[in-house]
Amino acid sequence: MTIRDLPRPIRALLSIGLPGDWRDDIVRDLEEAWTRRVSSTGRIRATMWLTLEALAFTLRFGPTRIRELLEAGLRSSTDLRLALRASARAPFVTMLTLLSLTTGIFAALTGWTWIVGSMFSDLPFEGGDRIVLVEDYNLTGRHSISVSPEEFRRRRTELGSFEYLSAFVQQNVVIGEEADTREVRQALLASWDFLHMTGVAPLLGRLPAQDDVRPGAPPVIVLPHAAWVTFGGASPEVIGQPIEVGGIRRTVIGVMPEGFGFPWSDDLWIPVDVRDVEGSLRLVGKMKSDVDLSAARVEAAAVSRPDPAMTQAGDVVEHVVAGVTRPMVNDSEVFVLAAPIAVLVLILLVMATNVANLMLARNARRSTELAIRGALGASRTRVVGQLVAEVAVLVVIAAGLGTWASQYAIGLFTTRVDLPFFTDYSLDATALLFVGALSLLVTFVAGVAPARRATGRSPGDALRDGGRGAAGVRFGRLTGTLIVAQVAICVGFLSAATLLGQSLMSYTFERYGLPAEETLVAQLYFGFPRELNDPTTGLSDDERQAQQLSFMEEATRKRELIADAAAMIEGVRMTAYGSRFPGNESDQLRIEVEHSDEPIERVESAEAGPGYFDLVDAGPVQGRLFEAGEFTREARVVLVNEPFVRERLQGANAIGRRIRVFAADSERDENAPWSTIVGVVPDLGLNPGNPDRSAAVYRPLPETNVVRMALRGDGDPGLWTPQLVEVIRRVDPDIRVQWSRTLADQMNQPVAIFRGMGAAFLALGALALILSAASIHALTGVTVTRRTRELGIRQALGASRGSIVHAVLSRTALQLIVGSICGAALAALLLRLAVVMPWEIRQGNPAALAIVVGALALAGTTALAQPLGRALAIRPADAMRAE
Amino acid sequence: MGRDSIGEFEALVLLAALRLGDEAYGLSIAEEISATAERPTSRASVYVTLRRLEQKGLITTEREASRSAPGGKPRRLVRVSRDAVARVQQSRRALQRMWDGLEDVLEEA
Repeated sequence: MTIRDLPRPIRALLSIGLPGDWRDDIVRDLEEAWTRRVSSTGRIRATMWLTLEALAFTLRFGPTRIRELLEAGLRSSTDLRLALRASARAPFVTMLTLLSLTTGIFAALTGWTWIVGSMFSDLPFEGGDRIVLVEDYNLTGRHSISVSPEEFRRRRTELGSFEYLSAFVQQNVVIGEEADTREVRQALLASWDFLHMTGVAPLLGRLPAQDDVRPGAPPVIVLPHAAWVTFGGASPEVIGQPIEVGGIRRTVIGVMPEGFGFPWSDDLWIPVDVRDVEGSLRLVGKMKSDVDLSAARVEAAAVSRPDPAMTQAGDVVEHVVAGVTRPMVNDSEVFVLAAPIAVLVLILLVMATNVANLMLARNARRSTELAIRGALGASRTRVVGQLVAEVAVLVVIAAGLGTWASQYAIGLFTTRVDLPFFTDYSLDATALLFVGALSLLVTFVAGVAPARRATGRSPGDALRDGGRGAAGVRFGRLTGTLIVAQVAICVGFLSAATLLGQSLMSYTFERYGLPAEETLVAQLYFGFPRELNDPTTGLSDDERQAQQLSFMEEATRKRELIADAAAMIEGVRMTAYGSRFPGNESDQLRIEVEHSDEPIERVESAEAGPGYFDLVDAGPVQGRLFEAGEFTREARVVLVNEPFVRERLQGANAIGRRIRVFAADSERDENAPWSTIVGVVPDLGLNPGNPDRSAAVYRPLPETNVVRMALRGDGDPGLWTPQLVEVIRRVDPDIRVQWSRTLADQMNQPVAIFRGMGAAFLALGALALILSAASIHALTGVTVTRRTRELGIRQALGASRGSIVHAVLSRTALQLIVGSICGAALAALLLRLAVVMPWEIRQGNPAALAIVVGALALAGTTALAQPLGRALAIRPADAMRAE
Repeated sequence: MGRDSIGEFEALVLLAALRLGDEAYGLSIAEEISATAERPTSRASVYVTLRRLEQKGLITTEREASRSAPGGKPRRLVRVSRDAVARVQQSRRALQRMWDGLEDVLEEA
């Protein structure tokens, strides 16, 4: 009978659970018993039996094993002393190891904390995990579908899964009366029971009641803690006092506790009858305690009737019921989130394998010392234990430093970025377990493998080779693969960092000559009247369209009123409207040029209203600008910029040429109308991150309900927002300012992101470069020592210096070449990931690659110079001595 | 229990090893106890006991030569020491003395 080997997981379990002196024998006997059972009962049943048996053995020997491990722990205090001494004796290797492991653990832990904190934080109050958003999303049109008050009331009645269902709408409002304290804050206009579902009691006063939203009831407000401090002087007397919010005097009825926000931030909470609110209603609900998410989803899908005004026949509508804290995550996407963590752990592993290389070389130099310990009676386990302890000490220090650095970096980030109030990046038990698991993994990779390699030979053999130092150790395929991986990471990250750096250097909006510091840009939203979205009004599609058109025309008239009033704000000299102003975000169209063989390609696009080009001091380079009467959807005129003429028309005269445009992701339409180019304007920086691809087309701004407004003048434009909000409220209280920022901020926004990414890539690349150089230096040094005799004989036989160099370096050179090729692929992949950024990075730049290859060549030469010099200096007499 | 005495399960393990002679090793001992003593036996307990008996010097173990091992995997064979045999006998006598005179009582029960 042939006895089968046990399955690997069972063997692993037994190797942990059984005492060393009987382990092999018990495993052997279990193998025999298992083999017999496989014959009699079949493999599956036999394996189930074996699993139970292995568990029984592990439990039965548990006390014995714990005693053994404790004894080993006592022994390891000696190992610890020896480990510290060994680390102190090799300061360079120690520092390098610490640096790489700290960086690796920092990156992995930061990625972990960031993703877990951003995606899996819970609302920090009881039942917070049952509070969900209930929304419809038009997958075809890619937009959320707002809910009408009627639909909200219907859902509230029919959805049985929910304990609460409230509607809310977010608005920017001006709070305060005095000019110096007045500011724009976000307010949540919501059903009266909105805050009740949180179960959080107010710090002062009370929560809204149903009577607060009855017709004729005095307007009330609940303040967040921060607003209470700013506008209420942190005084308990604030309850019952009036405060002016959005031009309405509201009585403060409550103040919420510090740190409370709902659903995302510490907004002002204004209870309203949602029938009185214009704009996109959103729904948030609290599921009953015996209902789970999937049941609520099924019910919502069955009950919801999406607004027909926001869908067309054939549109696919998704009914979303998702946690307030994790609207982006559904079950299948968790794997997508795990991918960045996996990449970071992989990088850490490559760093660890590099440390393994260094350890391998260091252990090789200590082969005599290790052999003497073996000859004096130390078991192999004991010697391996000591070598592993040397690495473990460094891993523990690196884990501490990496954790501290990660917390520090995240702390810096959170103080600078406005995050949802529930986002929790604190170091919890899971994160600590993650660090612990990483540390064990790194210790295994960087410690155990090299230690087993170094102690795999008998003391006698090692001592016989002792005179030749590391002569007995050979570096195999694994070591070579590690070097290749290291070089690949180095080339990959350095190339990506260099390209990013170049993009950053080329990014400067000054060259567009824009008045960025003098201009404020705000996005205005003209809410649709409720009846245009209400299917119960009985309007036909034609009537609805006609009414929508009439609404748009009215919005355009209000736009003019707002522009006139905004021009009166102190310091403002001119105003203009457009769909977008120069800056980082991309809005592309596909362009077909008439009578041109050029393929249909994407170009940047914007819709420009009256005064758009005047505001940015841009006149026509050729032809004319848009004229009054052309700002409609029917206008068939366009402007192009100079890069468009250069790239798409090969510099030919543009005026009078015709183009037609398609949405960026739509097919070519033979029936689409042609538009005539009437003028050429300079490049205004619609794609400032990538001047090579800045071709753009401008269309007249038509009637629309979402528009951006720019105000230019003297003084600080950041101070104009409250007055602008006030001006708009006077024209129409239902028009909302969705955001506002200076043009300079808008154009600078992506730089910080790219600077951070570039710095991270550069740091990783530089570290990989140093580690690669150190690895190559250490391993080549040991190789030269090992091959002293061979090189000496080659010399004696008349080998040229060239052939000696070839003998020593051929393998390293191959590793560098293969690593560089893999690195170039990695760089391409990294830059492909960067397409999620708002502007493109120039790829395939030979200068970047030259810089990286130059850095690699310099590091490689430095690393190889000393061992190569030693190899060339070997004389035949050395070979004799080595023998 | 005295220093020189052995427990019931230790006695069973030693007796099984004696019955098996040259074929005594962990697995066969566990099977012998199950078959002859007709009681369910945990293999893990057998090995824990063997390890303890070895530490007490009541058994010696030796790995057989690979050549003669079944399946080419050598077994750890168990030999019972003279001392152990004496203790098993002592244990048997002690039990026998306790049985004496109780025949009537135990039969009635």
